[in-house]
Amino acid sequence: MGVKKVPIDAADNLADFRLSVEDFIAKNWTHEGLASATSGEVAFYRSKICRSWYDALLKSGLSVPYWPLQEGGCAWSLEQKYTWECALAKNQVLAMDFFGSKVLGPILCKWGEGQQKNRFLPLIREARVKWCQGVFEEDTDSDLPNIQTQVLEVATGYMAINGTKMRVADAHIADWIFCLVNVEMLLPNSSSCLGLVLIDMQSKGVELKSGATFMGTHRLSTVTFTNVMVASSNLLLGPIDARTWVAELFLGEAYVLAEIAKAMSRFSKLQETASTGYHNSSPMLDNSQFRRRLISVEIDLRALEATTLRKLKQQQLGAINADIFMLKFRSAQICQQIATLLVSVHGIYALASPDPKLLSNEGPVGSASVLSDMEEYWNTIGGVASDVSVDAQKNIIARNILGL
Amino acid sequence: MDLSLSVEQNMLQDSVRKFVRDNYAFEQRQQIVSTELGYDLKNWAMFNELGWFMIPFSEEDGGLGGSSIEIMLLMEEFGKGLVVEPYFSTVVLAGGLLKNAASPEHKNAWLTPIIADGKRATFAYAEPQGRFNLADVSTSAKQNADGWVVNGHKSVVLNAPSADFILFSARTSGSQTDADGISLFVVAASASGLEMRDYPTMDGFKAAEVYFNNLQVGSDAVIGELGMALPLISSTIDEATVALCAEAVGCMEILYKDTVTFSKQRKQFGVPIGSFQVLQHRMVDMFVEYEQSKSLLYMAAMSLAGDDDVKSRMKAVSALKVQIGKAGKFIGQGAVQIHGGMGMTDELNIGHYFKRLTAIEVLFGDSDYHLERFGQL
Repeated sequence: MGVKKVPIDAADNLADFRLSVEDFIAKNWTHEGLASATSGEVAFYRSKICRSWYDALLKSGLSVPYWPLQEGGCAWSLEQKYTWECALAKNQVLAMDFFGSKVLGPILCKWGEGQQKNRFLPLIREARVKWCQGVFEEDTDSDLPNIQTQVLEVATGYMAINGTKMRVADAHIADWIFCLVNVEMLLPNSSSCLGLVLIDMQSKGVELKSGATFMGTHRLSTVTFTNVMVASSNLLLGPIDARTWVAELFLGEAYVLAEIAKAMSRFSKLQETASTGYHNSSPMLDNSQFRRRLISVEIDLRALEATTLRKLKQQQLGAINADIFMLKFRSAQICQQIATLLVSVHGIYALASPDPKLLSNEGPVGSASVLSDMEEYWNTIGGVASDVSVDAQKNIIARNILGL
Repeated sequence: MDLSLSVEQNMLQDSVRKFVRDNYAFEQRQQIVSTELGYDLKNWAMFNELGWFMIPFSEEDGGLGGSSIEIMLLMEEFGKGLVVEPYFSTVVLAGGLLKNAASPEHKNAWLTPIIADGKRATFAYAEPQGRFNLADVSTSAKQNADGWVVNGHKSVVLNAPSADFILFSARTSGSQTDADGISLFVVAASASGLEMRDYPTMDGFKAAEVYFNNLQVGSDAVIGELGMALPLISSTIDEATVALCAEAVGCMEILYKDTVTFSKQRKQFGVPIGSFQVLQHRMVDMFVEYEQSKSLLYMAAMSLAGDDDVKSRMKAVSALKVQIGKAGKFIGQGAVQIHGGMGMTDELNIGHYFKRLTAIEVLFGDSDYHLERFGQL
């Protein structure tokens, strides 16, 4: 059997690897028609533009690079994975269904049983199904053992799910949801108290209440399960302790690298915006105060990038370390600073950024990017609230790393 | 430093507070914002009846002889309710310019209709290239037989869509960023040659890009002395800045108090989140920023109402704007984050107060602009 020529070869040195990644993206990704594909009302991953991108990835074996080799992943080094993420972010390529390929997929690969893997992994790999993630509840933040959503066996091979998940992103356009549930009543003798249940959003008993945020197009939902019947084979038991669950759900390598790559690309975009004048005025970069703040963020980013690669390397070699949480909130803080500097660049035109639905067909007032830049600003301030809170992350580090 | 209010000032504060309490519950406010006009003419009529259009104008002009202190008291209460009626652009911005620059004839023509009839007005000063530099005026007015022909583009003109008339700065001489050569004009909003692209702003108001395409105005359209308008515009904007900062202080008070109340009710791990020391300290910091803001607000309002020299006034205003920028962001973010998932919803008031504070930060010079201005004074 001959050696198949792949568009991106892990055997290449990093510079050549980067070139072939850029080349692949240039050949297969297009921004044409992107605006209508990302209205948020339509599941964008179903659009033609995304379908052709996913098909190109599939054809070249690149759809799930983080997964184990035997499940369709690529045997890339950490640096190569990071290069890949940075190139995607730089070219504003929409991710493969994020929750499916970056969160559920790796968990299934690691903890799932044969039948589950056979059933669900191809759907994720081929981006045939849109997933959303149900973790948070009314009274929980990161204290996952307190999860109230219950699963009980009601007949041989069938379970009933009862409970409510809050702040679920993308629930209004998802096909399936994976939910963190309490299995103490289902498996009273097990040392596990948590599990993951995969549920079809169309199932009887699933009620969705989707709400607008003040942040524009972003929507968050409450999903209520009332005696939702699910096959027992849809339960994934996974790790025993809650802390590992938190790490698997929020700190997977894929997730973390994507976050830092996003911060890097947003910074580049900020530099670019600040180096062109607004309507023939002098560029913001000429303003010495602004330039100092920009440089300060650049240095913070350097530190974050270096820490990310260092911590992920450690993680590859050993157990998951709780200090990996620092990557999340540092990256969130830096993205906030970047977004704040962009508001500053827009000046008074930041005001002309209402909910995009309220604007006429003539499009944005002021610069072309003011709407998305302002939405990014709201997301970096409020969006952290849709994740494990910063305080909870710091508590975890204090307890588990510093022993306080 | 103490600000003790007179009986009349207390009464004014009470009446504005009552108006907000009785007419501006958050749901009511959102309902008003969603209308085509974007505010409620019944409220506007009420302001007229209550005499609020008279507040900052001299008695001989038909006003109540109030100062920046009365305006501060009113705007602070408006901030607590996120009031959207165009009081600020009409009375403080346009009214302020007319008060300081207009001849008796001009006051009769333009100021009296505001005071007596509630005519609405605004001021167009910002330009796309100008950032916060009031002297950067490329909108031009060229003299002709019938008066002046105006060409240019003004940015983000507050409440322009429903204004009856618009004041604007245009260059009658000098080059684009010269301090001299800027003149103040007034024009009816319906004038031909004046076009608008209106849009909602992110904080629930309305604004427009205003375009002058060979707009012909008479020679009586010039308010005050030709080519000498900048100092007057600058000092009026400083007064307007203090008024806006008063509104911001009102917003901040609601935000930190609502957050404290919320934290006492919301439970996690079986106890109110307000019992977590980390959050307590954060809320203390929010409270401290609010108090500092209020103090600098009083200082600035008193400076403008008193007989400080121009430089001291400008310093007081810049110091205030810097503090408001810092505090607004800190308190706004803290409120959203402590409210957790709820803080992000459109239904809760918190995000909307935060947006208003963000809007105030970019009006009349952001924090960086005022840091630099303070340093140069």
